Amino acid sequence: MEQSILQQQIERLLTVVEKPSRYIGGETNETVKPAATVRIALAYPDAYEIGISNQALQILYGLINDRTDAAAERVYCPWPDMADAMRREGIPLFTLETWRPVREADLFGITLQAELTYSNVLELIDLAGIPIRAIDRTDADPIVMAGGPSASNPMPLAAFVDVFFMGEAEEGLSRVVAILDEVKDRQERLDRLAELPFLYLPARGERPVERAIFADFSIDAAPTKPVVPYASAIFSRASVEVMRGCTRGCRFCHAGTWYRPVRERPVEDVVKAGLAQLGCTGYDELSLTSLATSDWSGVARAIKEIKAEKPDLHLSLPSNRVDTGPVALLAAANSRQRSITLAPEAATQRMRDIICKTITDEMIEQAIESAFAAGYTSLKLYFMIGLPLETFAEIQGIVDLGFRAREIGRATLGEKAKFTVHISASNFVPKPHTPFQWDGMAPPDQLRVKQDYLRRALKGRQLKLSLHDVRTSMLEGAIGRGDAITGDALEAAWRAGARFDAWTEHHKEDVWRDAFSAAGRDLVVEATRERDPLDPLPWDHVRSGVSKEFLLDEWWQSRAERPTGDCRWDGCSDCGACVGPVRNRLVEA
Amino acid sequence: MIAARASAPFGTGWWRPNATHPAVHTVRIELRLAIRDRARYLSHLEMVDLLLAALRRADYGVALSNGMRPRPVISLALARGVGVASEDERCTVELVGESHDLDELVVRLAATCPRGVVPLEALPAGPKTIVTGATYRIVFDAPGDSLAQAVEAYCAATELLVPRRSPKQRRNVDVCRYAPEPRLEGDAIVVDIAIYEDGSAKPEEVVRALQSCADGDLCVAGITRLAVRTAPKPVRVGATETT
Repeated sequence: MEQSILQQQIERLLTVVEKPSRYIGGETNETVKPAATVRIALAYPDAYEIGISNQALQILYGLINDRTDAAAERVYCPWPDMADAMRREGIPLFTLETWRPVREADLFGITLQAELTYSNVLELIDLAGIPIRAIDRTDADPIVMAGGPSASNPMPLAAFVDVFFMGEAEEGLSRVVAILDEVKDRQERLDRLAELPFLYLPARGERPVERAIFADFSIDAAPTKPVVPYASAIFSRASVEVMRGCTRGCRFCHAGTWYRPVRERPVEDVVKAGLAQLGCTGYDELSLTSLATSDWSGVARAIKEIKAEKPDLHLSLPSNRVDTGPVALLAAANSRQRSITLAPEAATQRMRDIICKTITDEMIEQAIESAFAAGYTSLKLYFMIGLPLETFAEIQGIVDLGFRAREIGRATLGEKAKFTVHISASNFVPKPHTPFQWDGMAPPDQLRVKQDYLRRALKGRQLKLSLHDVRTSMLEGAIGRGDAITGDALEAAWRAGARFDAWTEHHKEDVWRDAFSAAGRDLVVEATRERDPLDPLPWDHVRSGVSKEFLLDEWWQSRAERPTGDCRWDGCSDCGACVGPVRNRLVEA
Repeated sequence: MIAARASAPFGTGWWRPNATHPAVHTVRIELRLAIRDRARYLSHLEMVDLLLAALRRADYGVALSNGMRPRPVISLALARGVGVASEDERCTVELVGESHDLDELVVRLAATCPRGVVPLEALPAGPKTIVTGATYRIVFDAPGDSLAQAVEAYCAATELLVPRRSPKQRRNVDVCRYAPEPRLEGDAIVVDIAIYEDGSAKPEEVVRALQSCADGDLCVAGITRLAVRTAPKPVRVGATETT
């Protein structure tokens, strides 16, 4: 299809679809490189407003476009109204920057951030006019590559993806781009890519594949000019990743294993990068991101230095721990910030020992008191329900802690003060490469009973409760630890109309149930089934760096209700992540 | 240059019990912009946010309103339909500072606005005005004689009702009342749409009325707002009636 005709057709669609700004591109800091020899379409398999806020994609976009030979262009999953209209009019999936078809790219890279976006992965491939199954692709098709944390179990998508990138792409991606530049034949490209240790090509069999680790973690790889989204994005703020990895060892946490070891960025680099980003984006908010920013050695100094430069700046610190969070949050507090999130994850000491969350009741109460005293008027406490070995005492513990937080709020701010204690309880979903990978999810009926109890018990002034949809959690659990047969169910579900499964209004429970049945599986059984530690797991050939023996030891420790110390302060726990130059690297406070 | 006093920006602790209210000088400025190419698909709110970010990137501080929830003082004179381009987009904004070089403002803003958003000029904002109408150019994918026939039939009609649906109600709008005389100019139809106190017609509604008057198909290729007409805001003196 000729380019100008395609552009006219797209423009005609934009007048009839919802939120056309999702498809127009042209945002501040976008890069257009028509003369590049290698074209890479980078896709986020969800709507524009979700995908544009994703930091990983911004990093890759910047890294590729910094090269002279390559151009990265963005693609987000078209909303169902647009996707239907595109199919009706025969318009292929196009990139935002140039409105050129994705199928003309050399590489179609899709980031896998969550299992509930997998149906959208198939939707993207199909809309691009690329055969769904990798085996049906020809020389005219781009190489479909997937990466991101959910790629750590590639098996549910193995039939649809040509190449999986395991781990952190900052260094390895340049080797991939170099191969694409050197070799033009598709098969030859795949042969060359198969030689890289961090790439998994399902068509070449299950060979061991190593997770790539960006040992240097230098600030040079951070995005300097992130694309500024239009108003509809979920996050409109500058963000600098201050630290990668976390060795706290929470046994449910996938990122806690997948991103080991801990690598911190120097304070001066972070401050400089943050101020530069603010200047080129026009944001009035800066986020210092990591898995637990309050654990970053430089947090207090960085806040002080940034506030000295920009006293009115809205500084946000997501993912704060109860034990270290308040110190940082008090330093970051200003008149614009009203809400704070703390994540005790579990409300009783027993459960916190099981999941290896090394905090005490006193620490939680102290953190709540400090938050209210600092002027925060909206306190969000984040918990999980359905954890292994959970009893009803743990659910009651959440209720008790909610009321205790309200009591502390009233004592600190005054009996009739305006404040909210927001309890958020999500459903535990076991993830690959974690000590709880062998555990099953709690049955859906049990989760609903617990949710109902929380709804009844956590009522009252100044209290709010939010719960996660059990149906979508079950699907996440069934896909997350799935295998190749799960992939068949995924394809069947997508063909029957499943897409945007993370969006409650689009989630089709019956479609998924039928698709699993057609593949000879039961969705709920898959999600709730415990795995035998002696049986092989579908993702065993993916080497995260953390040994399976360590994960199994941790699983046993959870049964003994014993937490494990953090290797940053309590000595090495021999998880296997540190090899050669790759090891914990902390900065001086 | 007009200077006024406004509330202090965020972060000065104005809402805290022992806060002080430092004086901040501000200047009200009217920006005129063109919205072209793909930028015409941006919504009204997206355009406001985009301009705020562009001003911040250009290193201008936007003043904040008073009250419990201070908001940047910025407004667009007339909401533009998504998909409608504009050669006369008017934005009134209050910038922090005692004075600003307006030519420099246009240059700096042009460098920080995204593709398709083109600052044309900046003027000191005069007394407050109300929008009384706007002129649009509508380009059709249709032969000239079809357009001429449609315009003639439109002008001959005494009433042309077009249904308007909103989340709350459905009603018919008589577009002849607001846009009585569309005219053919080259390959396009130019129409002046008046805005009265009780409402107005949207350019898309005028298009539908023209389509209903045409003998054949009239496919729209694009709508561009050419000009916005304003008048001084009437001063209302409220009379207090006592019995």
